[in-house]
Amino acid sequence: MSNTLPSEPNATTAHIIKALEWILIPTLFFVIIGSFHIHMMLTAGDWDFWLDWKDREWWIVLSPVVTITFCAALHSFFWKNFRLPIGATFAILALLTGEWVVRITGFHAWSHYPINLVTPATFLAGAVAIDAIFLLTRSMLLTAILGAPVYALLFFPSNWAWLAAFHVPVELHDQVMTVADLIGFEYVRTGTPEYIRMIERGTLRTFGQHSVAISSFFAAFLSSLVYVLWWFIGKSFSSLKYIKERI
Amino acid sequence: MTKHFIKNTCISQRLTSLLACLLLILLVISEAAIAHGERSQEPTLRMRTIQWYDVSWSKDKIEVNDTVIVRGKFKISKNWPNAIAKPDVAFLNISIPGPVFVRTGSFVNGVNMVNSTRFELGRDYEWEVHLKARHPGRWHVHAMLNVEGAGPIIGPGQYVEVTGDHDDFINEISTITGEVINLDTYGLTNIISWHAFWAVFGFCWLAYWLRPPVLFRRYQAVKNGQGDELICKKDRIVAAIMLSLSITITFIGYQWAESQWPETIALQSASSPVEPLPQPEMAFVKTKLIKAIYRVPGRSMEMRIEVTNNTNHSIRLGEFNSATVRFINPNVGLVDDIAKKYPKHLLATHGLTVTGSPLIKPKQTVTLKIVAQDASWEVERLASLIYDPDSRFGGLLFFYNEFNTRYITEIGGTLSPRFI
Amino acid sequence: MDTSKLKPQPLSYYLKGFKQFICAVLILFGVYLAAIWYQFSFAHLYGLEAHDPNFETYWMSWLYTEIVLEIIIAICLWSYLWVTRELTLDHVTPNQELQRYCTFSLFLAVYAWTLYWGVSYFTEQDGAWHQVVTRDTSFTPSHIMIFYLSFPLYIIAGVCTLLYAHTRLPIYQTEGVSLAHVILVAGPFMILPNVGLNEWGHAFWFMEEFFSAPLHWGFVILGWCGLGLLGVILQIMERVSEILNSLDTQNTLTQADS
Repeated sequence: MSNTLPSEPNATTAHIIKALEWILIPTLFFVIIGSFHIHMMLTAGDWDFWLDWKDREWWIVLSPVVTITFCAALHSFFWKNFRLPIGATFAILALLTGEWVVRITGFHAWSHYPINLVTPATFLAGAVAIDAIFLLTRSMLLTAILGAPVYALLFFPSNWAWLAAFHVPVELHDQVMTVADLIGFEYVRTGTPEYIRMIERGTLRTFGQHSVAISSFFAAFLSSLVYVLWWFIGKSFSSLKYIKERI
Repeated sequence: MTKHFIKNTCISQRLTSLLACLLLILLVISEAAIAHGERSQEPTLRMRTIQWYDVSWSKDKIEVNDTVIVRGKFKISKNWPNAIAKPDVAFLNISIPGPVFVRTGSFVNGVNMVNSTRFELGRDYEWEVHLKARHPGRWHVHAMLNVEGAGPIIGPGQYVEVTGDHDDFINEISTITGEVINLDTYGLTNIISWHAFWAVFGFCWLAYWLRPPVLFRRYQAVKNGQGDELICKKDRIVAAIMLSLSITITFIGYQWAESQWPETIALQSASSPVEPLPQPEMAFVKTKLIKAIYRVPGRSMEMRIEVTNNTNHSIRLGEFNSATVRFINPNVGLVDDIAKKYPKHLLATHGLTVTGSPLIKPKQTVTLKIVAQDASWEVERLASLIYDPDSRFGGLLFFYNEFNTRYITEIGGTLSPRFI
Repeated sequence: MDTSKLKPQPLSYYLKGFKQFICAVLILFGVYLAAIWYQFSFAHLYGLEAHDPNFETYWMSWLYTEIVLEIIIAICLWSYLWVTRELTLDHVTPNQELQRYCTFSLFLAVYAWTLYWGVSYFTEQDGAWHQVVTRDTSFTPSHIMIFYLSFPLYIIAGVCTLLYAHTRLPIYQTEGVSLAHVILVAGPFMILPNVGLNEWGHAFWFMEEFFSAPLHWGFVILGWCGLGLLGVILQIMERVSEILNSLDTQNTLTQADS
């Protein structure tokens, strides 16, 4: 077998290849927006839609675990076939594109909700990190053990940079709330009564206000497991199989 | 030519009149036919859960930044259907088409209702919701209560017209840390900055790797077993740098946020207990349903009820209130201003006829025949009760003495249809 | 063998369908923008109460019209692709096959465009509307655009990709139908029947407007089928690489780039 890499093709075939890639890459991007977005919005969507759902318990656990799925699937696809460590970033950029378009045109322009109430979470810090870790380790297993936890652990601190402002306390008619709670209360959602919020409701053991760290580490553990599972799901979908029998 | 002109003018005048009539009819129909989803709710849900009464809107025309207060009372029906989740967890909401108003306060019996609470069956509660106008327009504002597991139970609605400009809207509040903020736009610059930064960061990583032509060449290489040679030292260095930057910038961002907003608390969640309105020790007026039928052709409900007057004065039946529709006995009339300003499409001012002994003397027990008749049975789709799996109705009866003191009782039971 | 059939052609030869692709994308974009404009204009006015006569005029009439038009468009497009097929694909030259793969990719791109609007844009936009209304019909202003406009449109586009591949790409006749491609089209297709479960659940079982409820997870699983595109892309690359290698190229394999 030749020990050389494929050359740059000749001028004509290069154009064809380039044209095809310019068609296929955006095609993949839009399909991933669709698939990933519907996956996210119907599993962890409520936490992502609403400012006053971004708590210390559910949001920190669900968001990374639900999103690492497509990151892993695309890692499998891009790495196994192209040695491209871009799966997570590609997937997350697609997701965030889909989310932002609707938050602005749907939630804000159509339904009149302020942008600060419907800001999506960002996952890009973790996405780039897990991509980089994949490249450096070149191992699915090491990425699952090291990269997936990093992805989950970076989630809360990277979002706290913009979210912290909304956890400043205010008082409304003698009741203490966060600014996030207040915005959620004031900007009326007929479909979201207060009781429906699946947020931390207080337990006996919050370990001295370390809820965030506990939730983050739990998310890190779950992300590792989900990463492996979805690596193989991505591999299954990357099937070259043709079926001759009548389906 | 003059005849032709006059003829045409007459025709065009007639056409104009016809169009004007049509428009008027449409407007009337539009006015009368406004609701916010409650007409699809099963009548039994609307008639036997929350009995809304004394509902009023403080203003029907305001400017942006002005406040309208919607207030009233409700009785939690003691005949609450078994099939519908009980109000063990409920939230006083308001039904408006999105945040065209902001809710600056809501109270039940004077208790701040930012949280959910529990309501007792058979008891009355007084509520109010303060709404500050945010978007100009003509908005239908409904009372509403959300019950966990049952969903929204909608009360009466009224149009409130908001004039002005949304750009003038300000929603300012002082935080406990002393900062004055506008909730509409608070934190927006920071949100956009951080999200844009990470988007550019991610895009740079992607752009480094993914510039066509890239896929076919790499695909071929991997197929030929030369995949690992596609990654060079420069790529690893870039990856290491990006990894370090991800972690470092995240850390810096976190620390910066902690320094900017050192005093933060967790999202608050609690339930707010609320005591119902005081209830008299004995029932001043007792009512008992004997029989109720609904006549489909006549769009009327007939009830025979037994009424016991335990008060010291004669009383008369003034109103039957069910599912926000008010059937008024014209002989008693609309007793107060709240009643007079009630939404017209829910107010049957001549809707209640009472035969039997209209004046019930003190300590007397009488049988009354009541007919509640109005098109709203069909418009509000309450008549479909007879076709539903649960055909039991509910409502409130309002009795008045000569001093206009009001006595409210709850009535309910099986409703039998009559199709001829 | 006529070696000229192996010579690469100008790019315009392979992208013969590019103008139609642009037209399709722009027309679809126009349809979606029109739908959004219609929602912005009439949803708050006449879309809050399903039993309002104006609701029937402004919303149900749109629904009936779009369903009829979609059926007509589907029949026209699918029939055209089927009727204009070649009965045998033995004669297809490498250049022709490459051209067809480019056209197939453009079909997939249109499908991707419609899929984005259906399962991403209008689906989450539905969530925005359900905070404004109290759900009182299966045919809300948001549902009319998502379930009965955007979903049928991507179904039409998806079936077009299957029909095109099945009737124009020789490998679909020699090797059989692509499993990944079937998943890519069938999965999202099933999202529309799943609406039946969704509406049943909302009418009888689940009373709250909670997007992450288990009732909706059927959509999630079917949405995963979009990942079938990964396999389709690999199949395209596999076959196109073979074709490119068989074309009369000037260069042979040389040293790797640095």
